[in-house]
Amino acid sequence: MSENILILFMFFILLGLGLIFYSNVQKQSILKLQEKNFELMTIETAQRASFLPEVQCSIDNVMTDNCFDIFKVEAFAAALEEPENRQLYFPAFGNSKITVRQIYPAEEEYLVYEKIPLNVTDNISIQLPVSILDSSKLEKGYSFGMIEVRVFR
Amino acid sequence: MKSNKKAAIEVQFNWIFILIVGAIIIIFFFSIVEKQKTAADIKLASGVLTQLDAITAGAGVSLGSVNELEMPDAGINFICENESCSKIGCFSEYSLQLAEGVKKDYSTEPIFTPTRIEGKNLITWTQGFDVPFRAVNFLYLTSDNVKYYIVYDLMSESKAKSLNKSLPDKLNKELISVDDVPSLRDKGNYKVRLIFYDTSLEPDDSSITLPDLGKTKDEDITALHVTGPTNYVYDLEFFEKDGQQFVSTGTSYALANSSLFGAILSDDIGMYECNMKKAFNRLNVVAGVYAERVSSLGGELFLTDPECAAMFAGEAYFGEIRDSSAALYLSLNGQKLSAIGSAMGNLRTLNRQAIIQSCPTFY
Repeated sequence: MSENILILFMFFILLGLGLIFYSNVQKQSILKLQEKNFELMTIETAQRASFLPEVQCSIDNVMTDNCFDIFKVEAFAAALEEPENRQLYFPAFGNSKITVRQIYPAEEEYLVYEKIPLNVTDNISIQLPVSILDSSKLEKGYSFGMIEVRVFR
Repeated sequence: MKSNKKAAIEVQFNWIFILIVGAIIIIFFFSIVEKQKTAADIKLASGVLTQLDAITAGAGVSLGSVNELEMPDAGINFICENESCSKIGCFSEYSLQLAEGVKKDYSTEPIFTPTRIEGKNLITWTQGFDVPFRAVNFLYLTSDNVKYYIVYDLMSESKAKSLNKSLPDKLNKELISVDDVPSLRDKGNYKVRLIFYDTSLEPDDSSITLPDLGKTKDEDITALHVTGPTNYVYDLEFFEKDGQQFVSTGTSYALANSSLFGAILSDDIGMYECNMKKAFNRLNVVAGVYAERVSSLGGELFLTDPECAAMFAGEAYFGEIRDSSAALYLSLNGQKLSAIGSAMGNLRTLNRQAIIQSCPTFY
């Protein structure tokens, strides 16, 4: 009888150790998945920002990829200063900072969207090259620039 | 004698002890298996929702493309509450049937789908909401297990054929005459949708008798009556099967073809209007951006190109579209949609003039 009890006791100790080991492995796997999802979310945010009709160049509604119309960028940035509009775009951009920078020939920076959480533990930045179009200069209206999307958590 | 009795009791007690402990061990392992099964379901659901999230994010990248994706035969539920709509979006979420606690919010993205998607293949399609400038990208989701019938009569046959051609080939669709409706047969689809395109008879007309479509429930057999367009606006009426007849569930409007496609794929008027309200919220912002752009560009062109500057100075249609779309989150007003449709036509003309005169385009 006492032997049975001792055997069961040892069995449950081994089982407990096995469960502790398994849960640690699961925890590591979950942390890796969280990191992967954060990177995916950053890429998705950058994708959304790059293909936003609100800022993309267009000629007769034919959208030009990797091109931002500077007048639209300025107007959109001004529109996002209104709290309601910022809230409207929060599901798309989340806690992030989106900046459009003109690099050549002149340097300019336009802050399009910004929402930084109070406690930031990590952030990932993605920079993509874009053309910047000044529609008022038909012949030589294109500049070289980039869009930076920094996502926070 | 006494020791025999003691031994007998001890053996019995031993067996009882073994049974109790055995039961505890079995219950313990069953509970682990159950928890692991739940965890696996949640993991699968999260994986599918992450994939759908990537699809919605990529909706703007390759417009017009139609894709077919394999997904677990788990069913996806979509909710979009029409009454909850405000200037900042509508309460909307999607979840997998096998793990309903795992949900994803899409409160500002217009995604037109049936209320429930079942089947092994998910069909995705994207179109731009062009009014006439791109306001937002629409994502349409459906299953190859949903059957779409485009119904025509003598007068609307060519229009129906044109609509059939506009819809993706991957959709499970069929063109039928209004006379063929009573002879429809069950083809094992969990949802059936009939689109009466510009037919003189409405779906709830007493002369249209609906057949019994086997296991497909009445609430999954729906219809849409479309008339128009007039000034880019279609009149819509949604129906649901009740017995052998269709019963109207409400009327609405569609602005431009992309909205009409949304009405075709949405089997519920509430879902359709909810997603359209999200689209008009975005239109409000985009029209404001264009109005501001025109104003700034007009000022810049004043010195370098006075002719183009004059054209830009006289433009007011973006403002009209912005103002008309401002309150559409409350209800889809036919008059305001007509006003937008009218401004659309004027903007198209103005843009063409700008191209002819080598001026910067309005959009």
